[in-house]
Amino acid sequence: MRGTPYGKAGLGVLWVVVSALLFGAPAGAEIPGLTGTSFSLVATSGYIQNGDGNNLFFWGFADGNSGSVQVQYPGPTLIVNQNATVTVTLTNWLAEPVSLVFPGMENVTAVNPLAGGGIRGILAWEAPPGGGAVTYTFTAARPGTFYYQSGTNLDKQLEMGLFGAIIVRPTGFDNAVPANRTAYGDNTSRFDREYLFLLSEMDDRYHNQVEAGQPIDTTTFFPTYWFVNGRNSPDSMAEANAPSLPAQPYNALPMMHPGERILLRIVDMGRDQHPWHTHANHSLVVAWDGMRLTTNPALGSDLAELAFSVMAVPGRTSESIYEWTGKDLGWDIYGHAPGDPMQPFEYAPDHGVPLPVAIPDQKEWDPGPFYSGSPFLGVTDDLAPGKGNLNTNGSFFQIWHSHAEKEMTTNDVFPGGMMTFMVVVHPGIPIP
Amino acid sequence: MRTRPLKKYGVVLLAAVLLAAMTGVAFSVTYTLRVGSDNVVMPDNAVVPVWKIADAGTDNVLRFPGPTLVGTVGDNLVITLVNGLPVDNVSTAGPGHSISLVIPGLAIPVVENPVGTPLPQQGPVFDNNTPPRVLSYTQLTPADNGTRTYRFALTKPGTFLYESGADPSVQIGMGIHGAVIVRPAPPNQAQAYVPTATNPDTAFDNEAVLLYSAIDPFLHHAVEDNTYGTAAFPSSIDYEAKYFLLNGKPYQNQADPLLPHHTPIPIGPVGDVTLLRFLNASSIGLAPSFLGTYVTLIGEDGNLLPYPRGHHTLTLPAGKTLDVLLAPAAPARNIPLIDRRVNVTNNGVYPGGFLTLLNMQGADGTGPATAFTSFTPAPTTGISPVLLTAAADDTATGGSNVVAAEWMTDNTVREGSGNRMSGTFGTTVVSDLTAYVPLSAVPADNTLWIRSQDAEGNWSLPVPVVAVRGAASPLVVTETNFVGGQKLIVRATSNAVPAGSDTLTVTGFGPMVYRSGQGIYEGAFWRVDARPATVTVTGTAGSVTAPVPFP
Repeated sequence: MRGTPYGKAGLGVLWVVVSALLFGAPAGAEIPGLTGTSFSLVATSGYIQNGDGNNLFFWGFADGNSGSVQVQYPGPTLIVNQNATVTVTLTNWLAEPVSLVFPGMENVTAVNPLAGGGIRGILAWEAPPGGGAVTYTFTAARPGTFYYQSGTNLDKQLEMGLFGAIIVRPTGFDNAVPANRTAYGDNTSRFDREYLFLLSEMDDRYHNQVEAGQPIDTTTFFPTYWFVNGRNSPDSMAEANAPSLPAQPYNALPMMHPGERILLRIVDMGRDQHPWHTHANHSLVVAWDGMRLTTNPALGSDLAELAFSVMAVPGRTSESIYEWTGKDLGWDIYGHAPGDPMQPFEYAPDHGVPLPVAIPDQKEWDPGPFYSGSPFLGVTDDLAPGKGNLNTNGSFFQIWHSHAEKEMTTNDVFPGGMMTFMVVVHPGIPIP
Repeated sequence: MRTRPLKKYGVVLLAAVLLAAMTGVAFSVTYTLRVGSDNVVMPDNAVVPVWKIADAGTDNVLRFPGPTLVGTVGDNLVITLVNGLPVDNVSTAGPGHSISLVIPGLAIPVVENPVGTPLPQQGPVFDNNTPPRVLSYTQLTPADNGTRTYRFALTKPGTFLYESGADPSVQIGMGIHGAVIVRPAPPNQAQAYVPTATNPDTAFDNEAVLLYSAIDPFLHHAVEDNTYGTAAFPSSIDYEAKYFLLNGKPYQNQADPLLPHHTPIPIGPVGDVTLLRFLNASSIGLAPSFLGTYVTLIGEDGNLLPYPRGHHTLTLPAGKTLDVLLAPAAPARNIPLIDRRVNVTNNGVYPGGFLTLLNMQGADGTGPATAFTSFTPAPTTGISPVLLTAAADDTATGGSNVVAAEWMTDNTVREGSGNRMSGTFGTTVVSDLTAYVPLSAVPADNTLWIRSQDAEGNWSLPVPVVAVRGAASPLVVTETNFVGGQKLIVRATSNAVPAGSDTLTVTGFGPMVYRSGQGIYEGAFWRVDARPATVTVTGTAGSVTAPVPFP
């Protein structure tokens, strides 16, 4: 009985998780990002750090309203309300024109673009290099998950990292009122916690060539690094805003109590499809591209479909609802005796059903790093010296990853890449 | 029955329907398709060998991809293939240049020769190896003008891909592919599908075929050289597409700079529903993504979906077809459609490939008229630089504002990459386009080029401007420089004899001195508070004005 599919190989690199669980505040009910209606994105360059220790040159956006010029990968997540008039000012400090396009937004216009030196590109108004600026405005007409990306030199600038997510809250959204905490204003998209999974990849050759000022040929694309929210595993599980990852402020460590509804917002900003695989249960896809799967919006997402892997398609977004209670495991995850009181959302038929395995003496087997010493949720127990110890709350760790298994590597090193864990936490232990 | 024009064809269809009803006989839609080898020229002037298909019943012109075939459910689609490819006498494995036809989604055809006489042998073709390997999914049409007829039963409506059933990893990409449109049987012939209660909106006003293909030129040359299938080029395992073609053309599809570089795909005006029939004949999965609009996916692979789906980005795997309705809101505009897998280069050079614009009827799809006004002074004086003045007018070409203009020494310079001209942009007519042109930049043919751009992004074609240089160069400002926020440097040459005898003055700043070692006149002026936009140098030959660039 292992708490994780990892063997000993993972132990050394995964120690970072300790800091996430003990000291960090990795996840709240809401996705971190910038809120409001007026945003400033500054295009500039920086370096990201990968799990293999390799730094890569990238282009990204900094939050120009923050007073800082810390460029980040991916760009800041913009969180706006439905029907808001949103303005985004792009200031370009790169050496070539940059623009922004907002797929799914149907009324984007550039505000007096000639005034800021704007250049009319093929797809959009572009901000010229050297500090040129263009302001875009649009109405966030529909709720859902969207994104912004450069509309200039697409093959190069998207590879380099010029993109970020947009979340549009539905009319009536209220994070403090559970009934109004929804993706689309209806009960089928109601959630207790939400997490962003912005997937992307890089071919390191291009980043080195651009850093050296050389041209690139993207027809030879061969990615070597894969990212969730701009980090590869195990950094994906480190805390948000980790000081050691200044250009990668977002983490990807979903946590939940059994029975909670978790909203997954999946955005693929790479060039390849990524089957985002949620171990332990299916998720129920309620919308693609901000369009609900419905016969009638009044019925909510009545055409929602279960997916064991949500197929993330470049340029496409989805929302899905994930739940987990231990249902159908065939044993009581709390280790209850038959007469014990039930935990919230506990699967009643398994109440009091013993673990059908006699756990061997600890000298006879080798637990993985996330084994707490007990198979039961919220319980920790003795372990052999040097074993386990990354799971101080007795949580269940369910690996979530790209099911294109090659993408669970960081430049050919496993484990790494497009991978993280969903941590199921005992109902009695608060999730930060 | 042949490919119909896009527009409302209901009346014609109705007549056809009545005819069918009266006779009680299923139509045969017959085509004679002639296959031949030819080239396509890519925007970088690369010449790539391809196989093309001509519709012998119409203009008989070889095309890449092949012509779009149209039929109705209940028809037989009867395609007589004339294989004009030369015999491949070199490659011993595979079908060589024998070709065949299949339409994924429809049943395997009956193969006839001559028309109406089924071959005694039907089904796949195998080679003589033990165990045998399949050469083709249907009976082959031999090279060197062999003829076979493929009779398909059109059993379901939708969009289908016809393609070679022989050596598909080679022959489909070489060009043996095209679109088949199958219309529903009466009374729904004007619809994309037979509508259902849960997917009721299958009607459309216009339709357009969007057929994607890709080219790995190395593979094509190997086929042309008959080295494909030999040790030199054993297989398509190393296939890597370099060119990405939509309806046979990449973005920047013209090598000739004096022809429009991109042909937008026309769609209906505001209020119309356009049916976009997507087909992927390439070997790579694509993600067509619309900017600024949603579309409704109603069918896939000839199957009406149980429910329609809204998307801005589609999934278009290799070999698949999608039927999509586009009904964009006002205003009429050019809607970008990109492959979000960013195959948007021509052999690695952006922009290119799967990047296109859908030109709504009524949208401005034409660049402004651009006209030369004057040079000051005339280039024949030899004084350099000269002030080029031009005008741009979009009044008759869409009525958008003029937003940019540029001059080039070479008309092959990519749009937006020329030398920017100044002007009072932002109106439909801009008459004060100006730029200082050093005569040293004028090419030997004395021709410069100008063009302008409107707010919709449309550029005019390059317009030639003749600038005949004077033989003598009495006064040339060779350099102007504003340094460190306080120092203005002006350098010039004069042909006054003897050398150094001219007296040059920079208006408003002072005299220049002669540097005999370099043979130039130089003025260096300190404590200049702000960069002057231009400086004027006056000597015995006259005056010349030159711009001062940003530091």
